[in-house]
Amino acid sequence: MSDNNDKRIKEALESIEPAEGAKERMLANIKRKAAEQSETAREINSPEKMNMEENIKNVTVNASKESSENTVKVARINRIVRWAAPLAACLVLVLAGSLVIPRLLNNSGKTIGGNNVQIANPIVEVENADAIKNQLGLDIDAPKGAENVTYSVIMGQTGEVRFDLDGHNYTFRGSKETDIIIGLYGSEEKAEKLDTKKNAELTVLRSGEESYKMINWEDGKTKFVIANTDGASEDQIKAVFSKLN
Amino acid sequence: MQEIAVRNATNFEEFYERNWKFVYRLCFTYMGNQADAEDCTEDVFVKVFNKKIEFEDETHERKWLSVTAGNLCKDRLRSAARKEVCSIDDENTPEIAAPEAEDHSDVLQAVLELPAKYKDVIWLYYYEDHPTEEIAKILDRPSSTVRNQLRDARNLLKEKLEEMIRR
Repeated sequence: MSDNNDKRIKEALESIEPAEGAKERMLANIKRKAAEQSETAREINSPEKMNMEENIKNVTVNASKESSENTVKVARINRIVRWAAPLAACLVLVLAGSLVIPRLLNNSGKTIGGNNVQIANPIVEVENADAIKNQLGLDIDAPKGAENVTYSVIMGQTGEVRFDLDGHNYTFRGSKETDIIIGLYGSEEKAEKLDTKKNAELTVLRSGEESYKMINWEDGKTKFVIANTDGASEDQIKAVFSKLN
Repeated sequence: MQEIAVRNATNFEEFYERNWKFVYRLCFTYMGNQADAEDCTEDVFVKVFNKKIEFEDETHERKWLSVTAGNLCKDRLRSAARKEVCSIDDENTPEIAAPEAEDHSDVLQAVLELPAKYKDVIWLYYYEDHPTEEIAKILDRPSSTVRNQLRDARNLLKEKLEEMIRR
């Protein structure tokens, strides 16, 4: 084969160009796949260590025609594990519920006609902050000026308040009994200490073009986190934190 | 001997930055289309991400990636070929052929149409500029096998290129 053809082959291989955005897209997928594989490996290796209440799979129970109003959708709870920065480029925070879980419709523990499936609802909507306080002994509420406020209790341990404020949606969770899980993952872009007394820290995560922000802190033995995924600025989420404290 | 640990967040991103394109090109050489090439590229880096891989230097790093990517792509193609044949016990299991490629230059097209078994040799010889002895070490094959494969691959390419000229 001639030198000229050899050169053409080399040039042909070098002419292979990835599609636009492939670099960033692949990196995001790599982190996601690595997180999923690592999570699966942990589940396979030590199932006895897992808290099974934290791993409820997607179940849609279709009730019989006679009791169609009892259809319950149990949302998947993503158990996300926080990885220390040296271990991975993908920062995942350990908590107890996904930020984007759809709301549950009914009370827990019903036997659904036709399928006879007993399901524990991980997220239960409640009426107001008093309801959370009565169940969990936890003081948690939306800040002044918030709109479209909803209240929930997650896994019987975490109180959640969702609200809109100044054009952004926030998820605010608190718990006296457990670490709080919010299903966000991405590269840690920034970590900033805000308040040493309450051990408050702002974390900014980057996932592709999206940026997620959260502030977690402690008040005695109670842990709190406020999170935003729709582009609130650092100043805005800090302002929310100030209002809540 | 400098060890390049690839475990912490910053190192992985740097590792990815310096290697992603060549791994993609190698995977594309095997798979022949962007979607599969991206998929295979991702899986190569996931292997690094989840395992404690330590490289002696960047040359070692590159060789490891070349071999790993090649093996991963061949497995993927083999798996796709088996699905078409139905029985993996079939004695007539076809050789792994290149998938149908997108529109490319004639030369690239000819390379993409080569059987998968020749691609690692072609890649290491033409893209990585390794001599055959070095390729034999990298692929853990006898030098004579590497020389024969390279000769057969180049003959196939020559035929394809001449055929393209005739058209």
